[in-house]
Amino acid sequence: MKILKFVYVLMPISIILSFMWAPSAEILGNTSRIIYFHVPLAWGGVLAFIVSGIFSILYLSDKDKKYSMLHEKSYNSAQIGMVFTILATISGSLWSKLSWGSYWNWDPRQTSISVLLLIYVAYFSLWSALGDNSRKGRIASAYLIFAMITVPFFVFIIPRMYPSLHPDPIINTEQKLRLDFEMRITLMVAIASFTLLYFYLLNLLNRITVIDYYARDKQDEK
Amino acid sequence: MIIMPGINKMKNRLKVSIFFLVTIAFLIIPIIKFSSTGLQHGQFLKNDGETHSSRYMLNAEEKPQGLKSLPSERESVKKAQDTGRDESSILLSVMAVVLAVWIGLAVFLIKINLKIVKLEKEINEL
Repeated sequence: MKILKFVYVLMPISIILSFMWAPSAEILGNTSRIIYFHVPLAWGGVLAFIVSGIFSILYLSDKDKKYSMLHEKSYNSAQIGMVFTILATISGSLWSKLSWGSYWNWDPRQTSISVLLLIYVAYFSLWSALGDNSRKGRIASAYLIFAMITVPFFVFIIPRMYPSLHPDPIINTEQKLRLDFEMRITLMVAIASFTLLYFYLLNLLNRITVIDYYARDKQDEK
Repeated sequence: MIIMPGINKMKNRLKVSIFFLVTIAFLIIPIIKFSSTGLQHGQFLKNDGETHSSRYMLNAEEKPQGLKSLPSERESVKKAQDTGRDESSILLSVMAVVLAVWIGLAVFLIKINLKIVKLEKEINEL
């Protein structure tokens, strides 16, 4: 997984591009630079939730036990997704204060993201409540699949169904990227670096989980 | 012999969560900087005009009711003069802070990675 270490190079490049190369946006001025953190964080959150759902599907369909600890790995991914989404919400709400005058407006996008956060809070509660239950993996994975199905609705569909304070989405029905060249490149680099950061953190957490598993095993042998 | 009970796992997860808390600072610092120096909406319209404008952002005419009104150019220029700093120096200092935070995080992540590699080696030797 050496490619993941590229995050150490890509993230500073992304920061430098965000502040030095990308121009400030019309009307919003320099506050628009939050987009290079806000959008990649939101993307990272969605990606993490989808990966956790995929791990859960694999866990439930893996009857030959080909993969190990998939339910733990999906839990790790959901954890990172939760943190990324919370950070995206915080950054979005700060931006909202600067642009619209208040931190929270119950905009469709803000409302749907808060519902999504509650769905995943319920997952973590479920995970904790199940404790050492032998069916913990199956129950939690089934819930995560349900949660993953709701993600596209809350992130892509519902916010587009109602009038919003948010500007037109960058990728819209016209299939056009409404961003200037420098902004587009900077945003792409930022998205790539946060994606790498997500996979790097997931890799670290998964390795810790494996070590913990072996350590517990050794202790049980004693 | 490795003794890595659940408590150690929790410690590691705690460290990762600290990393995320620092990331919040990484987001908040530039915003506070901008909001306190008056470098806000529309300040760069004068210098950048159409070339550097983003079409996906809201136009002034389409501005919804919740949008805060723009500070006049005069006011923001005065505010920047009062602080004695121009826009590029503020951007540079914000970038330096963000980069410093990232370097701190990177060092922290590298340390965790090295610890994990060490433990993995110990497991393989068993």
